[in-house]
Amino acid sequence: MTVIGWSSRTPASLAGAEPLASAGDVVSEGVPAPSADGPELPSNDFCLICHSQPGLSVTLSDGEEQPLDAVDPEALSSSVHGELSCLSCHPTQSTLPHPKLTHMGKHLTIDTDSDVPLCSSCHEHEYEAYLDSVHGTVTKLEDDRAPNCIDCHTTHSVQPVQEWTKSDRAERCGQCHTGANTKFADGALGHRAPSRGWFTVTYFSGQFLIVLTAAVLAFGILHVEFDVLRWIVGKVQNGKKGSTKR
Amino acid sequence: MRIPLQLGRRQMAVAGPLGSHQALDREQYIVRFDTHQRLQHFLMMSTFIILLFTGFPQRFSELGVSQWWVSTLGGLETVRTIHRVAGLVMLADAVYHVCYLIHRIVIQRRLGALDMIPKPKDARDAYHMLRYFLRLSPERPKFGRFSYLEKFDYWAVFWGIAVIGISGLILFLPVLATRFLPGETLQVAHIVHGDEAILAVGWILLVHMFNAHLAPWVFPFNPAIFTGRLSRKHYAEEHPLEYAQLKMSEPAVASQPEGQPGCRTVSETDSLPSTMGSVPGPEGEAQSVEGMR
Repeated sequence: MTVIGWSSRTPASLAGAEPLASAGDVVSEGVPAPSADGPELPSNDFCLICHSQPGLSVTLSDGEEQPLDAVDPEALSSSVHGELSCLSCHPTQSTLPHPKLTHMGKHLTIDTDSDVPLCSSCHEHEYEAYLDSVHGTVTKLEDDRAPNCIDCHTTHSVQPVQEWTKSDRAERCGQCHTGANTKFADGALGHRAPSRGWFTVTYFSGQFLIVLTAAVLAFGILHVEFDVLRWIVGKVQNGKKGSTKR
Repeated sequence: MRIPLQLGRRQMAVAGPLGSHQALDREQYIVRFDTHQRLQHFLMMSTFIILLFTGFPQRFSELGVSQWWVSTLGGLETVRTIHRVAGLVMLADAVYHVCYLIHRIVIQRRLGALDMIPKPKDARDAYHMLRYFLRLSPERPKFGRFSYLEKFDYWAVFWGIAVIGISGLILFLPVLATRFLPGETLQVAHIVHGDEAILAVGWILLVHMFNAHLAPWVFPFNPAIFTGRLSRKHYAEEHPLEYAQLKMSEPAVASQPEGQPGCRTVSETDSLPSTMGSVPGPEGEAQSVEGMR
């Protein structure tokens, strides 16, 4: 099954590992494309022996214990990422024992110092659009309540957005916005900027405000400039005998 | 009989029954704004400043200075709370103003506030001002109670409060809003709220601050909206048509108390309609709100 994604970018090698698969590649389930130089890498089935079990946790290098969610193998395989190797997103964990993680970033950085979430390495446009949204504002101003990618899209059971029902969306919004209905969920831009064909009223409202702001400020600034210039001219003409008032 | 005051920028002789020297020494003032209007402006000004400093970091959240400022203020949740409280106070002030207008116009039958409604004269004044700016005319247009620019300023705020206030309420209570409105309303509210704020702040900083503070003819400060009073000289210069009407209803100068140093107002006269109230003068006496029709 061909992997279909929003982005045509290759999954990033965040920690320097070789890219294991490209979106669009036909990849047998769980088997990464073999690297020409490196050793054979474990299959997803191998990872899932442990990681399908609940109750796992990881001890970070500073001693903090971080619980790990169990991965549902069926949900993973039927998700849009089901054809990808685990190591596409978790490249540092290719060997056993697993190397120590320094931290589990709130933006799913997973053992990198980057502030940019993992998902953006393939879904860069969506991430940029997210940053422009109300949720992005909360993220940029460093409020921990900001929803990140997995809060809406989950980790290992990401479904195509086209397959979400309205009530799915409303339920997802309702996790934070208690009582949200389907109309509320319809207000989500969906990681796309408004345009003539997408959120049309929003787009033209923005355009109108730009024109209005430019026109009004231009009028105001010109009025101020003319007023001052005319006053200066008046002063020059009248000399000291002129009034300091208009 | 009074010799009419000479008005206009180039005509400086001030003649009056007391003689020019005495008229300029003894500063006279006219009350232009009542207590309610002064309070409304003060609330508008204060909440505007608070909203600006708590709103712009959210509008321009990508800037490092915004992130620094938000964390300095105690985090985003604190900033949002301050912003919402100030916004609600501003909306309350707007309601206060509308109620004040209804009371004044409908109940007290004082129609002076209707002067704020734009008229064809305002367009003519704007055209004449343009001619004056371009030195095609030697004199500024003569204004009544409110010039075209003051009316523009007022109605721009009226519009701005409506847009920003309503969109702000929608952003404050999005779940409630979408019980009645389509979801796209949230995105429209988000865009117009921030962009209209940019317009409002731009206008206030670039135009209003100039006309109220930095203009050479008012620098450092035009206190009229805070004290409610404007000197007769300024009144005659800025609003000559209204000043002429006020002069016609003034009592004779001889009826005013003698020996009053400093500021004086024209004392109360029966020919005026009922006043909103009176503003205490510097001597502590209640004096008429003569400028309030």
